[in-house]
Amino acid sequence: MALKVENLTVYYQTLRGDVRALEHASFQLEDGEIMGLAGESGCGKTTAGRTIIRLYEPTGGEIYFKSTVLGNGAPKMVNLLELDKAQMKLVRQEISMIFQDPVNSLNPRMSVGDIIAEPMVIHGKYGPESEGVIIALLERVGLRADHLRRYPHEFSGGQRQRIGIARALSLNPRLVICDEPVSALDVSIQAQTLNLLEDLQHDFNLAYIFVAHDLSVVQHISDRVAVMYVGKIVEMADSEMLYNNPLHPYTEALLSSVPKPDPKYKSERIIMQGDVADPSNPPSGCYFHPRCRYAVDLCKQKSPEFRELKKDHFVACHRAEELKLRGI
Amino acid sequence: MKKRSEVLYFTLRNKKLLIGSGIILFFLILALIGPTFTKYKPLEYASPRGAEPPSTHFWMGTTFFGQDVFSQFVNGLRATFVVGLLGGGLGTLVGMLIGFTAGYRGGIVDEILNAFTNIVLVIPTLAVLLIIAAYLQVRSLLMECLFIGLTAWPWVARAIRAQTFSLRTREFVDLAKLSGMKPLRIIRDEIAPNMMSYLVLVFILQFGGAILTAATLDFIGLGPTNTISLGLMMQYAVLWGALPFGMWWWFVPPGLAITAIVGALYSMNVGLDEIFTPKLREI
Repeated sequence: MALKVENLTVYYQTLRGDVRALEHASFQLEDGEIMGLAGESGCGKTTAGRTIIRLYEPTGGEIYFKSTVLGNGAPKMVNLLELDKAQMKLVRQEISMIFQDPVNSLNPRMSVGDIIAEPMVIHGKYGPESEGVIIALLERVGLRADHLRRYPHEFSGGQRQRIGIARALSLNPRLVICDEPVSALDVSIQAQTLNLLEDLQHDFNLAYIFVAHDLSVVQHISDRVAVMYVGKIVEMADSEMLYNNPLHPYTEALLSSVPKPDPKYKSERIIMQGDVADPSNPPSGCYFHPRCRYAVDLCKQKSPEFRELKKDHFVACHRAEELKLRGI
Repeated sequence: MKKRSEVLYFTLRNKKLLIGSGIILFFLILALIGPTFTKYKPLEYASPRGAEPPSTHFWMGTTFFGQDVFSQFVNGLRATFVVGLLGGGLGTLVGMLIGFTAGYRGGIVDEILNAFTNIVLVIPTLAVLLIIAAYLQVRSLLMECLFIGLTAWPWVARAIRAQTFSLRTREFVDLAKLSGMKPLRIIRDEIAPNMMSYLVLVFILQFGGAILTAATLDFIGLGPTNTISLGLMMQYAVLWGALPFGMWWWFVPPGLAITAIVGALYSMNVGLDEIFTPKLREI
């Protein structure tokens, strides 16, 4: 197990009250596994990713991470929230992140070489042989050695994202949190970048948390998928299981929106009523009930439990047993 | 490499910057080597005949008391540059310190620092200086720099705070943070370089502002008591009737020099702005 998140909760305090960005999210990630976090904008998937690396401080919950550095070479599960500053800094070598916006995630005043070297410098691991390592990394992500001295503005969006990926890998991490890594890119570049991420995952035996709103992207890359709605995980299962046999009406609605490559296919899109619930003032019971076409009275009153309905298939819906939902 | 030569290209063909820095350089050299061309100390009574127009002996004439105007002028220039450098430098430094801290930390730290900035901003500088000057018998040039620096920083702080706010939410700052970089280094390596052009401009404006403030203070008699400056020269000139008696050589050089230096600094400022902001460039 590479990562275990238990009851992770993040509330943002605002003048209008607490915004429940993330509520009691629990999941775990095996070594070398790719876990997709999917959902609409504002559902808390980015918050989840950033809280795991402690860019945001959680309101509650536990984050266990298998750290080799803190175990002095032997893997050891540590609770990230109980670490002091010095220990957390050490762990930061083992977790890295790739952001959505390839323009903003590279400092325009630093050369590509300096950007990739930065994590090494911070952790005192930059030595005479590091330039060779960086060049190898650059070549591994599909750039050239002579790009080393150039500046970010000289590159295209896809190339910049490759630089960001090289930077994320420069300290040989175990876990990479990919926060919508391809959604700012062109479709053709998306595929290339996804394939690169997959190859790297194989080569370095990385675990990914892959945050994305595009379900076809998530399906393509993920081993397992968690679907989120207003700060809660509503369904979690193997990628294949989830896409073929969704158990939550929200997943079904999302899947029906995925475009099919067959022009003769008569799509029956499920148009959801209303807007995403306001996370600072969520509805009673199940947060999804105002938009759910299967909702009954119970859904308005009681919040459904997140339970393992079939083996390794978790869902939070009162009517999951009786409903026959359509996948793709 | 390409970027550097581009900056150089636009620097060399920007007339505003070239003329501005030319004027500043001229006065700077004059301030540095000028005093070696005169035998007299600035406040020394050199000529027994009192006020004299410029001659081969006294290049800029003498004052009502027979002091050498040229000696006062070049030494006053030195004082002017010292005030600009120290006063403007101190203002920029304090402003950077407060602006970066408030902008980067945000939250309650920002609230407190911002309130403090606004308070200092609305304090009438001149009134405070009047009170302080009333208590101090002897005032030095260094003290004047200190006054100016410690009252001029709020504008710098506010502007840098705003820029830091916008930069610290950029993702490369998040990346540095989650790689374990310390806040001071994030500010130094990630945030400050992205507003370097701005910091340079702020310093130049503070430099010019400090010179103007110093001249104002000197002119109304709140300047240093034990030295000479361009502002003090003008104060003495007005006080001892240089205007009604037509002793133009006494007050024109300091007035012209202050105007030229501050004007040149503003011209440099506009020129640099054009170089840093491609949109403003004249093709």
